Amino acid sequence: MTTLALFIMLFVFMFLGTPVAVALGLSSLLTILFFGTDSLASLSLKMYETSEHFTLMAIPFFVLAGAFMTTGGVAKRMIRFAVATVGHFHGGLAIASVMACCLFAAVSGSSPATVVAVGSIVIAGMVRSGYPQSFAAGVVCNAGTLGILIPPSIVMVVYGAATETSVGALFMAGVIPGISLGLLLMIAIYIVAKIKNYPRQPRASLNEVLTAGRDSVWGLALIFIILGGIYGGVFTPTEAAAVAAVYAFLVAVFVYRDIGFRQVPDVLLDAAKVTIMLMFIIVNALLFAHVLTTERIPQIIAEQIIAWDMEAWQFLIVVNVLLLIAGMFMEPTGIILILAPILFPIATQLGIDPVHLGIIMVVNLEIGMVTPPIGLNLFVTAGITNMSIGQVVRAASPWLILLLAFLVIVTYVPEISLWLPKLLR
Amino acid sequence: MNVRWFHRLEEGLISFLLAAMTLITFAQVIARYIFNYSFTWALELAMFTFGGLIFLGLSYGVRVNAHIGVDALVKAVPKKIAHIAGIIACLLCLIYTTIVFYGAWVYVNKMYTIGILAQDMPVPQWIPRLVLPIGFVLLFIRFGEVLLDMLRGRRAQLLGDEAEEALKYASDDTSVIPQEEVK
Repeated sequence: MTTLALFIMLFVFMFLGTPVAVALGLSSLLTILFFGTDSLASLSLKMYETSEHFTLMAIPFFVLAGAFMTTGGVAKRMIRFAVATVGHFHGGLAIASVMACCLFAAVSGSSPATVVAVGSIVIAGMVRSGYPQSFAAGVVCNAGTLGILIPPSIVMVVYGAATETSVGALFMAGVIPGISLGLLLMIAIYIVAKIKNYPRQPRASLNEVLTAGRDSVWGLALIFIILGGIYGGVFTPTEAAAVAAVYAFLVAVFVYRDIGFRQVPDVLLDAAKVTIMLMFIIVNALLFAHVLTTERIPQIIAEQIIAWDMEAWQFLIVVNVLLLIAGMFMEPTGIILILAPILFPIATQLGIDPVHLGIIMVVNLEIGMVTPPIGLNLFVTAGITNMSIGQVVRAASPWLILLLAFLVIVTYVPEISLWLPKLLR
Repeated sequence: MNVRWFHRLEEGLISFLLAAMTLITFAQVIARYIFNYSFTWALELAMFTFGGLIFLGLSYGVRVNAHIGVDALVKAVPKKIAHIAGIIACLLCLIYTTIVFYGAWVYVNKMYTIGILAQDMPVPQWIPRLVLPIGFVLLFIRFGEVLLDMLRGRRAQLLGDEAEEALKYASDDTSVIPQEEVK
């Protein structure tokens, strides 16, 4: 009864057009006021405690690092490097776009930012070289989802905080699936390009490859600092994020000189704005999760699932369907904070590795970004190409099948995610 | 509250808080690994700035339309109904803000009466937590402003558009892509 009221209020508020954060917070507060025992003061304390969560502090730092890297011409350098390396294959520019998305994802934790930063340059370039616009847009729209799978990833930080899973292990676990998905997209492009005879670029000289590589290495070093630092035991993920932010500042201002000192306050304000938006949702989603836990919802569902004798593989189907539907409507951070506390205890009982569950959730949410009605990557792709949302949906859908197939593989072959973090442990 | 100096102050403050928390955490890492010296209060100070950034920043988020939501349904219905939905949404935001403010006020008051100190810094607990009631008063004012604008028909929406936001990173410089191609 209480739970029903909670969810009905959430959906009504959300569809009326209240901000997601307020819809989450208000439905939780009203539920507690009517049915619960917690005092309002203790709930405010709960909200304030979000800012004392050490893992979540990584979010503003990663956002800031991403802001410095996105404002600069980092995407441009990575595209140049990618074109020089793989441009001479069939469909070379499209393959290079996917590679550039992978590289850019390693400095940015956001999918839409990856689509815009890489897509605004490569889609126009591909169209000029004779690719159909829908092909170019579809490729980038999907490849951009790698932003949240390849570390650093804000969604993984949120999952780590919600379930007390090691963020370092999650980052490591994202590397191989991220690269595999990138390669899968590249192979598919190669086959399509060969059949349709899409243009190739001239083979770049070794000199160009090396120059372009050296030029993007400063940006790419970011991910090595983060992963190396965490796994070398030098710092915690949160500290790694702070170091990454300072490093990104130094590279953008002093090495690449893409931004001058004068623009630094603007970048800071921009990152602060994104942080505030994310943290407002997180503060309230944690309140929502608190209500769910006091109502013992996760336990009740867990008992039910165990009583049904559900096996791990069956449960994972349920997880995927649930996440795919949720991903169509809501934003990743909120979904993770609401669903992780419910799914996590069940998964642990069924013997599913928490890190593996995290990667499954992230891949699902990636797909959520390219499925209508609410898929951020679709919207931004429409924005940079002047195509209608409908056209982008049609352009993206063939590649979406590939993403879904990849989801099945990641779900049922845990080694893809777990091999690397286990190796390094 | 459309005062220029206040906006500048607001923007300056949250940018400063973000920079401060980054530098404090960074300095702490450097101090520990290079000088083998660890200052215990750094973490706490970083957390205080984080709290300040979040809660003092909320109202700024409303001013610049940063808070996202689901507008698919509102966009699909006739304008008049959407307008009414928007007004209801604003009222809901005001109710939310009032409830949280009340809770925060009671809580900070309690902290003030008990007077316990923070863990590592010689500051009473209630001082950093003041950002909670202050932040929600500011948030109330901002949501109230949006409501007034909507009633006067001056502003059509409350929600931010994340896609619009990301689009500013677009570039039309395609010079990195070579022009010539192999036939």
